[in-house]
Amino acid sequence: MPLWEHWNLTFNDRMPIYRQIILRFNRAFASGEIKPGERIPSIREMSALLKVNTNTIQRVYQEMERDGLIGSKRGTGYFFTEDLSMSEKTRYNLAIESLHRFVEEMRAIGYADKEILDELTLYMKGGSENDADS
Amino acid sequence: MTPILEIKGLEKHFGSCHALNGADLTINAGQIIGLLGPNASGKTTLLKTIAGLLQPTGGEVRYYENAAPGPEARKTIAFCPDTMTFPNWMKVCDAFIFYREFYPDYSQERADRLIEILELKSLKNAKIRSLSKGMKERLVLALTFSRNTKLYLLDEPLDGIDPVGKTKVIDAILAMLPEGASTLISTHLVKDTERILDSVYFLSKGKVIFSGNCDVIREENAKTVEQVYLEVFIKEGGTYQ
Repeated sequence: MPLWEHWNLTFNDRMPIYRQIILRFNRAFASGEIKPGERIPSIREMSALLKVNTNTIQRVYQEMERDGLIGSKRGTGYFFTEDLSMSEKTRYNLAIESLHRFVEEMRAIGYADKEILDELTLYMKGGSENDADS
Repeated sequence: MTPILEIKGLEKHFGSCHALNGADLTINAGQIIGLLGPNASGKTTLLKTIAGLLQPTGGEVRYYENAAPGPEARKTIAFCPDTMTFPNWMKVCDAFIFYREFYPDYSQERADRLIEILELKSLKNAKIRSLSKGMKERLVLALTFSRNTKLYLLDEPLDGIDPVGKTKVIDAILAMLPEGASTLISTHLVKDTERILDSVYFLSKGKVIFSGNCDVIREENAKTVEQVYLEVFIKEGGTYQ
């Protein structure tokens, strides 16, 4: 079971809070922090754990249920889907999103696609001279 | 969404000072609402008028369930004032007894949970006048939420409280707000509260100058509610904090 209280979410950017929480759930599911079929806390419990409004958690669960990520069993609460392909799919989607952000950022500073690929290959080999200090 | 309280064109004048200058506001069931504004913007006056402690000069306050405005409707509103004066002899435990005797909606079970969340247990036999400002604030919040009702009005519940105390106050609000009940929180500490707020009203010079759902505000402005707050009040030219 993930240590929800250690998620320590700080909401400081423009994205609605509910969407930031969904992203965090997606990440936990994709990385295996949450196992398929695992029970997740009730709306009330989650609201206390993450220190956000119950309506926010309600929206999070609603959207995840709509996306087939979680399901509710009457009287017993919410569970993550047991469908392993969903966790794969989530993982893939998150990967594509971060690739998208990376490519956009590189293009924005004037890199041609070919250069991006070269730079990435070099970086993965650990030979990049442009290794960021930060 | 079901409104439980509606305020239209509310006016409150103290002589030539117009503390409320046509304020409009709606509270729906099951919501945590922020009443945000700098000092002297009319927040306390608005809360006191809703709580029935002040008579409005004009406009109307309509309570939920078609209840006519008046003492009956007000019985179901729990008001947590900014400062509360207790008699010199009173201990922390006496204050809870006082609330139990005074309010029919007082719940001992809720009081016990609040004493735990807000860590007041060791202070049960302490004289209230000996408490620090922060602990006094926590006590008043615990007393307010010991009542099981539909509307809680909190006046600056985080003022004078240290960072750890703030998270406890936030915990208490989230844990103890009954299902379907609402709370209106007045504060200028936007950063500390925005993660628990459904919607906000910005009050300036007794008027609502901006309002909306927090998710929508973040999305439309691509900024946090705090950033929008600062922008609105800097433009307003008033003092802000």
